[in-house]
Amino acid sequence: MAKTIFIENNVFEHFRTKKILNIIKARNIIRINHYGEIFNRNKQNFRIQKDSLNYIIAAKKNNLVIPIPPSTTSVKGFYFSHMYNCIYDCDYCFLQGHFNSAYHVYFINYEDFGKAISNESMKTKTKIWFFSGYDCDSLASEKITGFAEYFVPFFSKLQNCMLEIRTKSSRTTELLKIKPNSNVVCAFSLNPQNLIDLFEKGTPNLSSRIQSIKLLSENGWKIGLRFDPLILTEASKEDYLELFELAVNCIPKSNIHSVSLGSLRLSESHHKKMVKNDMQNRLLLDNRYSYKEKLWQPDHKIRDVETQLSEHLKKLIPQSSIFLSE
Amino acid sequence: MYYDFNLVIVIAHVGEARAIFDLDEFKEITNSSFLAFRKHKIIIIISGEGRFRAAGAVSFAKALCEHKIIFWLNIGCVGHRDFQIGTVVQAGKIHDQELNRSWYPSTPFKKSIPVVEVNTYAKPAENYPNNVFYDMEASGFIELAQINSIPEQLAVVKVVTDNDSKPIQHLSINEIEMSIKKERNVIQSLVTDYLVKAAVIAESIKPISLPWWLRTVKFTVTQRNEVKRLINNYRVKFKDQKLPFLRILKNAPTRKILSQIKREWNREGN
Ligand code: SF4
Repeated sequence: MAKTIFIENNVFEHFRTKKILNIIKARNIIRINHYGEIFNRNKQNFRIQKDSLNYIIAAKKNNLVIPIPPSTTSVKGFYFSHMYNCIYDCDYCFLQGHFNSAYHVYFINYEDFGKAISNESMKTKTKIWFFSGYDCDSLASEKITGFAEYFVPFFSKLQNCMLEIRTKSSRTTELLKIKPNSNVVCAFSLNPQNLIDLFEKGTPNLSSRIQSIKLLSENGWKIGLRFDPLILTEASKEDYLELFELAVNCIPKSNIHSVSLGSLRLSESHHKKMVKNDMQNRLLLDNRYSYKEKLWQPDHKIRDVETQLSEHLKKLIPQSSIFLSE
Repeated sequence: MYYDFNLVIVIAHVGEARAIFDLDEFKEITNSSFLAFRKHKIIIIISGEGRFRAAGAVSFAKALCEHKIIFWLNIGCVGHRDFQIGTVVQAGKIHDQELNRSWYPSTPFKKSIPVVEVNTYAKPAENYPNNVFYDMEASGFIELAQINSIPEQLAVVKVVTDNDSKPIQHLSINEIEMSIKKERNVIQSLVTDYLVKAAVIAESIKPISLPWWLRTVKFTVTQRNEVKRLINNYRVKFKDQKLPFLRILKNAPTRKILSQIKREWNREGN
């Protein structure tokens, strides 16, 4: 199928646009005024579009950095998105319920993001976290976006800011060319291999993610381990204990910056939209999950096992900070 | 077995339609306000020239295909200052010059044909100042067709019939039709391609209908949607097994019926 790249007029001549076009090599280019004309259209089906992807290159004008609601984390922070959507296709991915379209949007005005980040950093002396990879996988498209190439050096200049790059990618080529710095944490989402096979379509397998973690840590990168989302309906507590051992033992404990565990949870509205778009998604129909306080979340039996897992991790790496999503 | 759908093809002139399809193999739809033909899932509507007529043809087709999922295709001619005559293109963007509005149909064809911007004008183009394709119907077609459709149900295919060296004013209808006829095989293969894709999409967006024994229950809209959700959950969990029949108490409140369904269908799973 012919892939089309829609490009906003204001970034048509931008050097990053040219770089992306060089890599994607799509021949069909359509000029647009604003990415929302296509991306935010009402009647779209995310699942169907996932099979016939197109791309959009745009500049993000508003909400370049967005405060993280205090209820979701204990650290003060912001998230920012240089990209919407993802090359992978996880069954539980909330983006399916969050966006109307599955097209990949690349926001290329990194300098504007940089200004917004600097502005926030100047407002306080305390440490602020910036999270990328909320609306995409931060590293999976690095070859196209050059995101880390720009932002890792950028954060090295900011004293009180930390950047978390969240990924499932095992691609290290670009990162290994950049000098790591102590303000940046590479956080890898991990799950047992049977869950990767079942629910994380297109993602690298567990052993290649572990290899990448090892390689990056050997090269001085701070590593975050994210056991998120825990899917205890399809994997057992023992599967996770095995995974913890594997991940924790592959790198020196001093290189582990932090570890977190996250429940499989979705907002009620995202869950409903995801089921509507993909009526064949078994994971979203599991009886052990239900709506409570506007969230689709696991029952107390699953939550209990999650707490036990978090306790176990604390014993395994007592010196590291461990978070379990509330 | 795929869910039933129609592929509606809107073409301005019957000569253009004849240049692409063997209309003798189609059955004419009589007593209708537009000249129209049907063969299996394909319906061809001859709209006449201009965006208003194209929009009229779409409304007519909507009434004709009530209750079915419709896939839309506009086939026609375009002009471009320097594209070769006979080039087949698909629209990735349609812009109406008068309304200053744009639409973005899908580009569903496996065959690699250029994706371009088509601009719709009220009059035939006398010259081609911009690097876009000039037509007279696409915006009228898509403005109406996109209502209640996802972008993947909309496509526009055009053949370049005029350009700077052969502007439209100097062409006879015969010459235009000949340019289209030369691309007959390409266009027919695109239609086949679209039909295959449409069958898959129709299957995934088909509406869920209630079994006969629930159809007469006077559910509220919310309750009806909840029943549909339960039907879908049941099908996914039990791999398309037939829904088990439930004995519903006559005159029972709908709330109770809904709880009964939830209870029984969950039990089936235990
Ligand atoms: S890797 Fe993350 S962003 Fe990508 S599909 Fe999976 S959950 Fe979504």
